[in-house]
Amino acid sequence: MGHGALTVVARPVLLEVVHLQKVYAQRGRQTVAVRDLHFRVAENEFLAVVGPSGCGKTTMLRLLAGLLPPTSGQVLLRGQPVTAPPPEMVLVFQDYGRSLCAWRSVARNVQFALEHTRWSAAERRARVDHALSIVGLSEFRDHYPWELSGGMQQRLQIARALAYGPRILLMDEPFGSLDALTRADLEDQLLDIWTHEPKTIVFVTHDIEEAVYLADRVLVLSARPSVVVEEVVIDLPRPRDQIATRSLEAFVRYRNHIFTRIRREVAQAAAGALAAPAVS
Amino acid sequence: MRPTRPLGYALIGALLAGWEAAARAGAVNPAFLPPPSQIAGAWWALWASGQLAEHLAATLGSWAQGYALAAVLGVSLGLLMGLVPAIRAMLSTIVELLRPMPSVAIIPVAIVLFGLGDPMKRFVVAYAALWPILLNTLYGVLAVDPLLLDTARTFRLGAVRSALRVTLPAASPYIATGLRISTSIALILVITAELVASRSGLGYAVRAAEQASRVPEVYAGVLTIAVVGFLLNALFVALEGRVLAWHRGVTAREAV
Repeated sequence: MGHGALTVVARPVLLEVVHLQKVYAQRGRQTVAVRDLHFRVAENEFLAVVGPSGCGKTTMLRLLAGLLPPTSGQVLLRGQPVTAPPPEMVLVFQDYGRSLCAWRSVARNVQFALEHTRWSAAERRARVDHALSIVGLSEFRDHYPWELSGGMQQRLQIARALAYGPRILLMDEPFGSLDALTRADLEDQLLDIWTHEPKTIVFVTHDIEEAVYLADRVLVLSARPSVVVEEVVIDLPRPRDQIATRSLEAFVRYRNHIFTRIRREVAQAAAGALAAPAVS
Repeated sequence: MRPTRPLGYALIGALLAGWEAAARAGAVNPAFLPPPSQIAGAWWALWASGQLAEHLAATLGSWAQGYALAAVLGVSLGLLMGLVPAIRAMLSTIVELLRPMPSVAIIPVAIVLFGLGDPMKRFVVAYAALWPILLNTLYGVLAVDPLLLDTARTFRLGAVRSALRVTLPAASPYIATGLRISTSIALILVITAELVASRSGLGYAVRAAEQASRVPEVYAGVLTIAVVGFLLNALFVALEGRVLAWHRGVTAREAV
């Protein structure tokens, strides 16, 4: 399986995660959520991150987004340490319903990202219209989020992120709670957006096939406390297709390889937990 | 509960008719329970003389001023307590000590501080109306989804913008509950203050009529107070329906 970087190395590094560690202290007990994460993300790369459930993926994204201070190590964006949410980065949450403003219409939810920016009112309107048209929500601009289906709400959250014009999109299991068809549809829309308006995407998912389908490269994390146990370069042709790509022999090989790796991680973590009860 | 149904009105009409008949037939002593027609006459006389409008204006004025003060103070303090743990820790003890005291007990203190005039009434109303608004705002702020606040941070809203554009609207259903509870509490307190210690307002008018044994006027005054309470509540419900239409939509969706 491809170690190192074939396509990746040619592009400049945008994001560097340097020995990142996060320890939560709660009532005198310490929980290591992220042990030692170390990886790079190239400009315009589509990076997927998979791992056993509860492996600290969400914590990792919050650290990357500057929403949470690391215990040690750092996140470098173009060489500069991230200490607060950077202007060129947006985090898209899994729980779209909780992330949208229920009191704002669809258009005004997108507008929310722009209200305090320097853009003129006309420019903001144009950005809102453009973002809504990309995700196909133009005709629902005056609806409220609770009038939309789950898939539409998630598209709205993505539109809001896109309108903000980020160079980096961090996505936390964004399609995790959607049905299979909606999910496939949104995966393809995301790839479409990424192709037409290149940006760097860090996509966390628990779905291995989704990771392989979307990404240039997949990082496999260990069970908590997380470290990167493997990185797999996905050398599959683009544009990808839900049926053709997923039927490729290489796709199945990638999938099986990662699946085996994660299962081994889970087994090791279980064995470790028996040998020495977790909690440090 | 919708108090505007025709059946409800029919029952009220029937009760009034029964009362009228009973009073006229001498089944009840009209000195204590005068027939509605006599009460209506007294009401009309009070209205025509301009006295009723004067008292009504005094009551509504104290109510509105005290209530507005309570709303501004309650929402700002609740927001601050909800957002800043240090302020919450500082103020919550005072709040917990003062809140359980029945608000009417503040009236003697208010008389000592302000005398018998309008400032006393305003103070009493503001004091009593403050607590539901303050506490509901606080609970509303504490109940705001942390994910929504993270969203605001990702888009780099500062603390003040986040408080005004996210926390406040997200907490608005709670705030509206506090405001609605306080509309009637404020009315209770303004009438009570007028009944026990004032020279103006509907409460005073009822007490004065009662002391002069003008029984129909007592009933006319009480009836006016009831209608005021009903109208204030209706006004609030209508306003709330407009401002919080989105919230009704959300809860209706969740109920399905």
